[in-house]
Amino acid sequence: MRFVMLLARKLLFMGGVLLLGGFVGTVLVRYAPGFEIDEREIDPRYGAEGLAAIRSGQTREGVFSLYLGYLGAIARGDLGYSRTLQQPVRELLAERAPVTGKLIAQGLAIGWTAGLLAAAAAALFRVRGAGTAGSLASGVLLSVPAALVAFAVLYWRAPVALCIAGVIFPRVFHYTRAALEKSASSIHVLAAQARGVQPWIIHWRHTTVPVIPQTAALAGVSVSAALGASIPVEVLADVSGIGQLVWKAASGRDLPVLISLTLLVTAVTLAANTVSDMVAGEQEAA
Amino acid sequence: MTAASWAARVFLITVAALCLAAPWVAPSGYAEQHRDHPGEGPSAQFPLGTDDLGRDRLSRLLYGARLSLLLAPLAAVLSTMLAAVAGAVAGWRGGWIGRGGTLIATLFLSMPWMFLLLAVRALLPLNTSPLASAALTFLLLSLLGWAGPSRVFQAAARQVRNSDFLLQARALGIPPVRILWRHLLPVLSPVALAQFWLAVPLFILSEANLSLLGLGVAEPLPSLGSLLTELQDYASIPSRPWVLAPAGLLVAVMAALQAAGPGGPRRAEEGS
Repeated sequence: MRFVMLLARKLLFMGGVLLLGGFVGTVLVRYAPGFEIDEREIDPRYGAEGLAAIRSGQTREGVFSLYLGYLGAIARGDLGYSRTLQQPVRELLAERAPVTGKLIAQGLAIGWTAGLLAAAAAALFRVRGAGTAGSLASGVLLSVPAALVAFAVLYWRAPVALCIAGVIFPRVFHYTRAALEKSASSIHVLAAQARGVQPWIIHWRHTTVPVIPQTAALAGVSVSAALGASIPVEVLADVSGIGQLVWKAASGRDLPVLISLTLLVTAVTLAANTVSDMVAGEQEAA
Repeated sequence: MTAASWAARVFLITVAALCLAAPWVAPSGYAEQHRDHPGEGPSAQFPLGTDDLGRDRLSRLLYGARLSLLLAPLAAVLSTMLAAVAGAVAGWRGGWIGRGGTLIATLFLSMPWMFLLLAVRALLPLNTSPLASAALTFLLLSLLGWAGPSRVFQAAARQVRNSDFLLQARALGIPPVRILWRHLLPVLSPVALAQFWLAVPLFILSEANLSLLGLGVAEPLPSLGSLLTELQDYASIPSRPWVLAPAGLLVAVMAALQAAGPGGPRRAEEGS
């Protein structure tokens, strides 16, 4: 019952944030100085009459009516029509979401595995050089934009998911390493060592298990980071996913696509954060 | 302060001084085209060669780094100030103001800010001047990047509000302005400094990503990010490795920024 109540509260909060998030996105886009300015307006071949004709076709809709109209259309299952790609937004999302989902899932899996293994090697097993190598790798990865990692991956013809992994690895490595080091130096671990408890039991039960809730809380943040990194990575690696779509929509000033994508990605981020918070909460309660 | 931190600061000051002196030390202007020398390799006249339009790469690198190193800290100051005000008010007042502040910060943190940034940046007028595009890009970064730090400020302000020494100060009848000045500000100042040092590299990286997507600083104005666009022809890099110079400087500046701030590299890694 407690879990159901918590879930209901989280879902309610998610719905509220999603509605507000969509509204904030609409406000930002609606009041951007170039909103609804047609590219033809800076074409010198159009005279005053031509410009007037172009401008008369612009609706200049208010932000509330724009957003309410959009929400109404969503309720009817209509996400709008992409002006630049000449396709319904729903179709575009259906085509591209699985591509990005797969890319991000692979990147997260690689980044998390590498980060956790490196952190365990450095903090638990005290492998010589593991800490230095991990710190060096994450220091470099933190110092380069995701787009530059994409160039390196493309140059060496490596899997594109490595770019996403490169963004995730430093976060997982440092957070987990710090948590494991703190846990390994706690009094109950020292007591267990003094009593001659087997090392693997100390490593797993007394050191690793207590940090699982903290590490699980990082999952939501890493999904958000992966989604952000997917934009430059997909554009530069020519992957037909959501990241590339948002770039095309931004370049083509395609409002329906931009608002739909903002809402979709906000929903994914919120869902990931909610799930990781609940998992962390359950683990802590256990 | 560690030796690495000192070295990083010396490096940053040297680079910043060189970049600020770009109009005097750069061999030519950032937009000046040497049409007889397009796409040349390094020479005495052009130490880092020229790009496809015949512009001197070294000059563009100096001007580009100047832009990033000037605007990113300014954006970080603005973002930190916004975060400090929003977080301190929410944490200090508590109640519905505190809950409202938390909700707004959560809202901004839940939103895909790279997506929003792209959307808003793309909707700037098409005839925006290069300098205005650069200023607006960094302004957008600061307006969208305040939410995370505001939570830190909120927590710090809440801690002071609930502290015993503040209770005692109130009981002694110390005026609120003096409490804010003598008790809250000294707690928030180191937080602000740490958040500033976290924001600067973050904004430089975000600008670099935007510029590589063609939505950052507009041509012909260079920035550390826009200079990386030459790497898109990555297959030819082995035959002209000097095009990696902007990437090398970017990595060096980023590493130095991470090492130079309070807490050094560890702080930067935790903040990421």
